[in-house]
Amino acid sequence: MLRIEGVTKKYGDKKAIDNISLHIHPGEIYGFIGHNGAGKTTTIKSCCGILQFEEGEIYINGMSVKENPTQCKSILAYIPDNPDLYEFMTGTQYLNFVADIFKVDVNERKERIKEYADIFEITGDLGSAISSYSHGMKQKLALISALIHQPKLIIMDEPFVGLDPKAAHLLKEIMRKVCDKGAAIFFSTHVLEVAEKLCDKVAIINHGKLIMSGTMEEVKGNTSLEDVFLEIAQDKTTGQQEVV
Amino acid sequence: MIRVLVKKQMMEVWASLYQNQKNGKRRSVVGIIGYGLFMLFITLFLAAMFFRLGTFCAGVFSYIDMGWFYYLLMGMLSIILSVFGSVFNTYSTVYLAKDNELLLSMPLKPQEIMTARLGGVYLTALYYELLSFIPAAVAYMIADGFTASNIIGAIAALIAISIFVLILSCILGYGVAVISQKLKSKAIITVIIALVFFAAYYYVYFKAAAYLNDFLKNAAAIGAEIKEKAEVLYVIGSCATGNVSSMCLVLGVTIVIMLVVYKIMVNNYTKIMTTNKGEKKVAYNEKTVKSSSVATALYKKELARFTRSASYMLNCGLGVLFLVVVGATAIIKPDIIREFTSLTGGSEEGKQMISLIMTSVLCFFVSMSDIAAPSVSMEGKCFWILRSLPVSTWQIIKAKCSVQIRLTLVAGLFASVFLGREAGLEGFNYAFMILATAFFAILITFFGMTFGILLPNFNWTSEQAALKQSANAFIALFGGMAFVAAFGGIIYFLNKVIEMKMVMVACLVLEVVVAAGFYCWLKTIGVKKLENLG
Repeated sequence: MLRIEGVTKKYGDKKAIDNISLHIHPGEIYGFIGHNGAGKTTTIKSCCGILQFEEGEIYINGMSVKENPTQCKSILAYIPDNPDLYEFMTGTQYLNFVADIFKVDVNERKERIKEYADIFEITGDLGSAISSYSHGMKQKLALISALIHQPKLIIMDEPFVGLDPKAAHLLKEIMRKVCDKGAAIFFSTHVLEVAEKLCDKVAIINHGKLIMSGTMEEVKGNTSLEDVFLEIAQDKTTGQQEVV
Repeated sequence: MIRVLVKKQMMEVWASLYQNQKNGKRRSVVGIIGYGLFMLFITLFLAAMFFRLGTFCAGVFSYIDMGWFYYLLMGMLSIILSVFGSVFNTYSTVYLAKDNELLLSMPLKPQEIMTARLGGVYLTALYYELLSFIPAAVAYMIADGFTASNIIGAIAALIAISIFVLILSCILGYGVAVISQKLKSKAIITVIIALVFFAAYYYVYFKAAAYLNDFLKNAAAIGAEIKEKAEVLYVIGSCATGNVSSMCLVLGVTIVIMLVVYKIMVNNYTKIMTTNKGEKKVAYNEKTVKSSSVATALYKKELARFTRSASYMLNCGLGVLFLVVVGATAIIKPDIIREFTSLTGGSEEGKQMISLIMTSVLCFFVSMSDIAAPSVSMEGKCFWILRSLPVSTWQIIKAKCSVQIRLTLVAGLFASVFLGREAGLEGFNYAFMILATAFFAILITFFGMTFGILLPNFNWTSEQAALKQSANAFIALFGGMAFVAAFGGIIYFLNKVIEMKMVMVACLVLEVVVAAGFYCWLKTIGVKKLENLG
């Protein structure tokens, strides 16, 4: 579903990500962890066609993001780390705007808006301006807008930040359901416990380089993901250890 | 403790000098000096305006021995300017300060925070006095003499006015805070209020000289009547001329009112600080929605961005309004147009001239609309949405251009059709006016969009920075006006070589060629540049 092949992205002379390669299959929840400034957001934005990259290729469902950005974007959904949404719109207006862009049928969008808004308990707030929303409510609205067109691939940057425990639990359930139906999810997180419980596979990035990737068992072995991560963080010069 | 808070308050005031408000970075030494000189120039320019006004009036009032009336008028003018300048500062400093919650969590006394905040507002009021009342007082003293009573009186009046402005700013600032919470269509109401203010301003501006002359002729009679029927005003005015009893009375009353207002504000400190209760929740009702095409959805989004921001509409859409006013004037008051056109005598050359002049006026108004230029910057931190959606970059650019093109085209056509009709234009001259205005609307849009992509500013905290202080908006606005001037120059020089009709055709062709040039740039390089603005 998502294949990253030797991607390198530079900001000036500095390599933000260096020769990253990953492969995410349909039905997988793939966690992406790393310290602040490791290159997670750059990788994620490159996958979504938001950032241009110098070397390598990214394929979504077999299509190149570089060559067919619009087609790639039509089957993916992206949720950024900070849900800055159009504050001049109401929640409903924003969801309808996204639905229009993804050409979602009127009846289907109505059903999905109701379903997800009820799940996240923001149905009553959809008529209000987004400017009046709390961080958590904006995050929930961004999640609904991502789910409204039933994407094949969902890419999320720190999706649990700002969500209350109930909403975070619901999101985890939705993530599992979406992947059980054949979609794939690639998301970054700092909450290692969540990654450990939720992810089928995980990749660890350090200073722009992929340090480890593979199934959760392969990456953490007999220890915890936290131990593995802390060990890597201590040894910044570690070379890439491809488990798979 | 107040000293620390005042120091923090002053750091905020001086931050604009040392820090670039756009990107938060510290200015270079050259930048600081340049910005300082710019602020000094603005200050001296405004002070000179008031000094000139004062010089114009002071001689007459000094001659008829009505200094109190002069100071009363100048004081009122100064109060109006100061309150208008300070009230929004009070609103944001006292009622909307971002550090309200931070300070509330610290072991500080309410009166300490309030005093420090009001200190900042008082300094703003004093700055406006420096611009208005002091030059007026100096102008009077030049006419009447630098006597001790004149100097002491002016200082007493200065203190009284500054305190009075502080009182009014506090009260009105609270009013603004309360009203802004209850307003539903804030953007539209703000635009209407601003337009009424502009209309009143221009009305007074154009009539000011005539009114002032009439007023000065009858100053003695008006002054005598005020002194007789409203003695309070006489007492206030004579305070500035050094009348001891008036000085004591005015200063005493002003200080007492200030103390009462201060006491009320301190007692309601927490309530005032947390005045902003957020926006009213709107009940959600499921409605049947109609789906839109991608292009329509993007256009509607851009239109909503424009119409839901009072600043956006006022800063970038006034030209559209002026075009509508011109068209409406042609319908309602055709005599004005006909009177103007009759001056040409009805000859073919005269009609060509009328067509050119009116087209220039309409194009000038078209150039005042720069909706497309800041539209990229206005995406701000939400730019990721458009970048992550399955829409091509060209579709994004087209949607941004289409708002300006549609609005200026409709308004421009409305104005040119009716203006041309009432001006008695026919055939080629009439068609030229309509086509030249329409082509110019398209050209200016592409021109503005080009600079919107070349010079974007995504890192703003206030949208004013994107609308007013961005290089793209500046270039789009003044560049558009430069285009009008350039076409004027081309017409002037070409007419020396070829006949006017051919010149007009050449202008139309040139408009199309230049617009096509910008269009091609946008579709090729512009698309790539926008894609790289991740």
